[in-house]
Amino acid sequence: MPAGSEPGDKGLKSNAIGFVSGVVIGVASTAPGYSLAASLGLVVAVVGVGVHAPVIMIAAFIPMLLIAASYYWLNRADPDCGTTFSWVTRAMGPGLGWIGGWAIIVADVIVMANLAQIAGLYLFLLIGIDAPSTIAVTAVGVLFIAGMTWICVIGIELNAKTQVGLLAAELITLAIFAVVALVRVYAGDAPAGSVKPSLEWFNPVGIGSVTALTSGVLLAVFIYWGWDTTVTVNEETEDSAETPGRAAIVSVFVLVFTYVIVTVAAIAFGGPAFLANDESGDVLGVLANAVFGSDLLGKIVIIAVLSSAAASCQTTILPTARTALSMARAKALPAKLGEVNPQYMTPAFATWLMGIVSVVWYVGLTLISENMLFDAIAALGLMIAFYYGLTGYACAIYYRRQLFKSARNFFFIGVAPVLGGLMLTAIFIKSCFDLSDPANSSSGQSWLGFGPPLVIGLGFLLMGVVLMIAWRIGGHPEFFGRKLEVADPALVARSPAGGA
Amino acid sequence: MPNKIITGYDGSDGGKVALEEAIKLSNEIGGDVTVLFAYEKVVVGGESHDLDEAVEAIGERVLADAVEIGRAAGAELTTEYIEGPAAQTLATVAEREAARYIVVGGSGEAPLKAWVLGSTANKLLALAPCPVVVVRAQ
Repeated sequence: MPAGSEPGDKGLKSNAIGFVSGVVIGVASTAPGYSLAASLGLVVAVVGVGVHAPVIMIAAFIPMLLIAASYYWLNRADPDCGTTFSWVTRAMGPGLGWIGGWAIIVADVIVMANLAQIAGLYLFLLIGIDAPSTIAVTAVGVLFIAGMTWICVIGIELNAKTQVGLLAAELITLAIFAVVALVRVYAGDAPAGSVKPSLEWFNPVGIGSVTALTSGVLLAVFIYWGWDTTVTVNEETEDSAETPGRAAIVSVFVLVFTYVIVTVAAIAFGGPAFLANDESGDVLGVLANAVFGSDLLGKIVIIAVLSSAAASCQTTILPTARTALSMARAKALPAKLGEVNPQYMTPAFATWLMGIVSVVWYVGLTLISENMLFDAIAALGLMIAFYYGLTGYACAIYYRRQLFKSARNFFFIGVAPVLGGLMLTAIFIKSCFDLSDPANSSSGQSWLGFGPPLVIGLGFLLMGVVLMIAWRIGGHPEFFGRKLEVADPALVARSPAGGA
Repeated sequence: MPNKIITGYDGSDGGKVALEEAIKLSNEIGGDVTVLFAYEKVVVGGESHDLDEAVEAIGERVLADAVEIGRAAGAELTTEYIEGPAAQTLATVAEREAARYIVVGGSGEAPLKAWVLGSTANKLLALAPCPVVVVRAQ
């Protein structure tokens, strides 16, 4: 170690961030504008959901909240950018850990295609072209991925301050959209098909079937995806022993509130039939023009979705490259992926690879059918349910010796994560059965007799198992020979009340 | 009290000319050189622990190289691995050490990033508490 650098004295500026920045990063990582644009129509379109979409938005949040508790506790034990990969490896063994890491990377690659598609579509909407050709949208989408990858490689990410501004603009825009839409519905000024909101929309029993509920939640877990990163960011507070996780909690209420209010407004204004039958993939953009009755104001919503997609792209590429880096450093992936570019101090190789694979996936999927991109969201839901579920179990297993030491440990470190894991496992299994029927997919296509989301989701998981076995056959005892570990009791003893 | 000279070194050619100039200057005016390696963590995108560790390893290697370069030129250098944006940390350390000069390369450190966000040398013009010597790589 060079003179002058003491451990624990890492210089002038620590990485800790303030409360407001913590909330902002949590909300921005989830990208509410983009998430709504990508999935609102799909959720409403699920047979049996319709006007009950608001309750789906609330229901999907519950397993996410429970799993966030495991993120909080596991990150406390092992702050590692491999997240699920590192934690599951410690708690449940290298094999499962590897598959968990693989699922994260695959989910990120899948979502890149949807991000690119939304970015492409909305850019054309912005310049006033409502029905661009698929080739044009795909070309812009590919440029979008390339540009965002380049930005991450040379390390010019948005800083917390810029994000505060962008996010505020995004949330204010969505709020104005919701308020104007609702005012026009109540004033009788909305187009035919509009309906006044009713409390019945929030009645879970009103949803037709368990299939409708799980299909809806499978699509909607995606809108909260990314929020978990908040609990792993160090928050600088006056009393850091009591308040970490506070930003995560506030950010989630901002999210739930935003999703519910925008969903209610969109359904009320456009009517469930319009949302469900929309095939443009850009419900929010189309509705925005209608709600404001002016292209100029409608464009503000489009800009909000675009900035949201760009932010989401960064918060997808960065953690994926870091997961790959973490896996490579643990000898679970080729060492090349663990290299850090000495000039830009970023995992440049892993980042470029992520960008290239995303482009290949995006173009390939678009060549098959544009509807595939909607099916990919359901496949993404399967991936998220899989690795979040795994993380929930890993938390209780890792901390098993501490669970019965206090009621707080039992509920926050044991019951909550396992309950979240069980919910996601149930959704995963039920969805696998439902999605085996091609009729339950957006494209309606049949692949090998199954719906495409199931083939994509399970196909990637199986591919992961094959690659993991191949890697194991190739040796790498440093990784595969690792022993199971348990949590250090001190982690719980010094812990704040409540958790995340 | 000996003069203090602060320089940043990242292992690049542009950084090396600055380091050599700083050593030369210290020999001429009599003084000590402090070499900084600055790294700004990325707050977005969640946990970055492994990446930070990897960067720290690079930083320590680069600083060890700097010490070697100094030794070859007959100078004992002080090094410091520091978190924060390069220009800001150089300015802050210069202030803390009541430095006589800050010596930086005119190019070398992340050229593409500098092209988008401005170079360290440029930013120092607004931040530095002491004269800044900018050395252009030949």
